[in-house]
Amino acid sequence: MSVQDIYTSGASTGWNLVDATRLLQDQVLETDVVIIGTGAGGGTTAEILASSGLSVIMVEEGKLHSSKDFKMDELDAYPKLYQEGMSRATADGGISIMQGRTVGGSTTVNWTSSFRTPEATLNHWTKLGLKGFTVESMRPWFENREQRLGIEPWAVPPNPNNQVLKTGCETLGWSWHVIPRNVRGCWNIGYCGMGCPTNAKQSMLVTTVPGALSKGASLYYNLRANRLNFQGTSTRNLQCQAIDPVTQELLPRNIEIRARHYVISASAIGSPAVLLRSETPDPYKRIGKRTFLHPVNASLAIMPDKIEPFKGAPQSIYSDEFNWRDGVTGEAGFKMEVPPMFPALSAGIIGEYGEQLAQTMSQLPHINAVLSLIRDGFHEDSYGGEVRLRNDGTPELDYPVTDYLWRALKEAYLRMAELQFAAGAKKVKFLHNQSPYFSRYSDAKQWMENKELKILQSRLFTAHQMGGCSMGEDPSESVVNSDGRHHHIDNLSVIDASTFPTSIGANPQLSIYAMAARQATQLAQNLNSA
Amino acid sequence: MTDLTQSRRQFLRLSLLTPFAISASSAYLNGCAATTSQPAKPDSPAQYYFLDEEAADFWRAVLAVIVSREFHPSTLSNEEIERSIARIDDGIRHFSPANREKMGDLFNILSITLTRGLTTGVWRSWPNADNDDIRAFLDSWRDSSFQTFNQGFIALVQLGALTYYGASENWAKSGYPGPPQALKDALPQFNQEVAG
Repeated sequence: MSVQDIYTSGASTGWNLVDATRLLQDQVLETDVVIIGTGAGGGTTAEILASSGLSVIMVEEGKLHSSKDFKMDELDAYPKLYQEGMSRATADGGISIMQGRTVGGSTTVNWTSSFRTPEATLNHWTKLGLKGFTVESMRPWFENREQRLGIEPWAVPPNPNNQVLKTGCETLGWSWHVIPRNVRGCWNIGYCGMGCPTNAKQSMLVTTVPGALSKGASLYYNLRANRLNFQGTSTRNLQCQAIDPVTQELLPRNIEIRARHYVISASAIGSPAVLLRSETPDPYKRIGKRTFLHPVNASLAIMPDKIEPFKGAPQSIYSDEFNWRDGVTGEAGFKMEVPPMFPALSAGIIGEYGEQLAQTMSQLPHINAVLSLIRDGFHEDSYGGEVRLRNDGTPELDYPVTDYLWRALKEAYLRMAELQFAAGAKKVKFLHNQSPYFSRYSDAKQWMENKELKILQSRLFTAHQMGGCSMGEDPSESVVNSDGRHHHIDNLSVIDASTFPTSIGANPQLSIYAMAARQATQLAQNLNSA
Repeated sequence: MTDLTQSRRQFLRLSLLTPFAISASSAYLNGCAATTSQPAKPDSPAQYYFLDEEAADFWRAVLAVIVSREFHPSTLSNEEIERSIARIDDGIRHFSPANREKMGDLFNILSITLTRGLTTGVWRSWPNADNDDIRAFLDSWRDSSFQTFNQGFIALVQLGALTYYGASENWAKSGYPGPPQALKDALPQFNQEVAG
C-alpha cells in the first residue's frame, strides 16, 4: 500500500496553504468565517461551513506537519507536535498536560479512541438545561461523524498490553469492551501518538481540514490568534501574529482578519485565552472557569511474558466497571484503559532515576501500564480548574485536586493494581514518587490505603482538556448557549471541548465531532439565509 | 547587584514556594545570569541554544546519575553524555517562552554556589560533586514537603530520563527495537531521505 502525503499533492492542486512566518508583509484579509484552531472542533466546523459555500479562513497556531514528517520517533515528535514542546502542565506542575499543537490539533497525536458521549452525561447536561443534547437528538450526529471518520470497534485482537486489561477484568468479573477507533486501513503499528505515518488515522489533519481546503478554504499556520476587537455587540476583526514554530516567540508579522462570523475552536485552554486576551464582555466572570481534565493516574506491572507495550493499536480495550458505579453525581468514577509504553514516555513518567530506572527500563518489553480517567465535574466538590493569562498573554491552567478527586484517584490506584495482579503480574508499582514494587496485591493495598496522596507525589496526567467556556442557557452560569453562540457578542461562536459543562467520562474526540457537526450545520444555515 | 544579594533573593523566592513559573521578577534574574532564554553566543564552543556552561556542567554531573552510569559503565561514554545534553538543550528550545523562563530560574538556583548549597546540599561545584551527594539531593527534592522542590525533581529527572531513553542510540537499553525496517521501507518519508 503506498502512502501519499496529502498536503504535498493538495498543494499542487491549488490548496491555499500559508506559512505566516514566510509572509513578506502584513496583511488584511476578508472572509465569511474565520475559525481559530484546526482540531476536533475547528476542523469539523471548517469542512461543514466551506461545503455550504461560505468562504473560510482557518487560523492555526501550530505548524503544518503531515505524514511526510511523521518518523515514528518520540524525540522528534513530542517537541514538535505537543503544546509547549510537551512541557505543558498545570500551574503547580502537578498534572502533565498532553495536548496537540499542530494542524489537526490533538486529533493528529491522539490514540484514536472514539466513544459516543455516554448517555448518562447527555442526560446530565439536559438536566442542567442544555438544549439539543438529548440522546435522541444527538444520535444522528454521532452516526454522521462515525461514518465520516471511519469509526468502528477495533476488529483486530487487542495487543498484549490491552489483553492484560481484558484478562484482569475477566478474572475479576469486571466488565470490559472493545474500543471504537477512527481509522481506515490501519497498519496496527502503534505510532498514533507521534502522528500517524500512514494516514490511516482519520484525524482532522487528513479528513476535514483537507475537505475544507478542497472547497476553497484557506489555512494559515504558524499564526497566533491574538485578539478579537469588538464594536458594540459585534466582533469587528481578529488580530493575528506570526509565531516561531520552534521557540513559540511572536514574530513581527501581523494579519488582520475581518469576517462576518468568528468561531473559536482553540481548545479548553486556548479558547478561554483568546477570549480573555480580547477582554470579551463577561459580566458574570465565567470565561476560563470550570475546566476539566479527566485527571489520569496509572499503575505499572511487570508481566511474566513479553508484552511489547509499544507495538500495535495503543488502545483497544476499556473497562467502565467503576465509571458510573456511584451514580452520575456521586463519588467520581473512572474509566480504565492502557497507554502505549514507548521508551521516552515511559522513562519520563516512571519517576525513577539511576539504577532503579535502568532496571525498570531494561524490562520495558515486559511492562504493562493501566491508566484511569477520573470523571471530573459532575459533583459540586469537583468544580474544575481555571484558565488564566500569564504576563506574556499565554494561558496557564490552575487545577486544584480536591479531596473528592483524591478519593477517586486512590480507589483507581487500588483497582488498577488489583487488576494487574489478577492478570498475572509478577510485580506492580503505582506511578507515585514513593511507590516501591509490590509482589502481592495485599501489600500494594496496604501501602496505598495508608498513603496520604499529594500533588507532585502522585504522578498525574491529562490528555483530555474540557470546559472553560461552558455552554448553558443561563448567561450567569455559561459563556455560550447550547448552539455554541456567545451570550453577549452576536457574530461569535465557540465550538470545541471548552464548551462542555462537565467532563465526558470517556475519551472526548467523538463528543467534540458530533457537537461541532450539529452546531456548524446550524451556523451554516443561519449564515447562508442571512 | 552582587551575586550574594542575588542568591539571597532567589533563595527567598524558593523558600516562599514561589513556583518557578511565577516570574514577574525574573527580569533581574535574567539580568544577572545573562544566559537563560538567550541563544548561546556564537563563539560558545558547545553552541547550545539555551544552556550555559554551568547548566551543561550540571547535566554532565547529574545526567550520569539519572541514567546510572554505574549501571551501564561500559556503554555510557562522555560523548554519549554530551549528545544527551545537546538533546536536552533542543528539548528546552521547543518549550514555550514561559516554561523556558522557569527552567532558567531553576538553573540559576542550581548554578550559584549559595543557592545550590542551601537547596541541594551540594556545596562543591557540579564537576566536583560526588554521586552520593547528587543522589541525596535528588531524593531530598523528590521527598520534600515543599512543592517547588518536588516540581524541580520531576522537571530534571523527566527531562534527563526521557531524553536519554528516547534517543534511538539508547533504544536497545530498554529492549525497544524501534519501528520495523519493513515498515520504514514501505513509507515514502523514509525512502525520500535515502534518495536524498
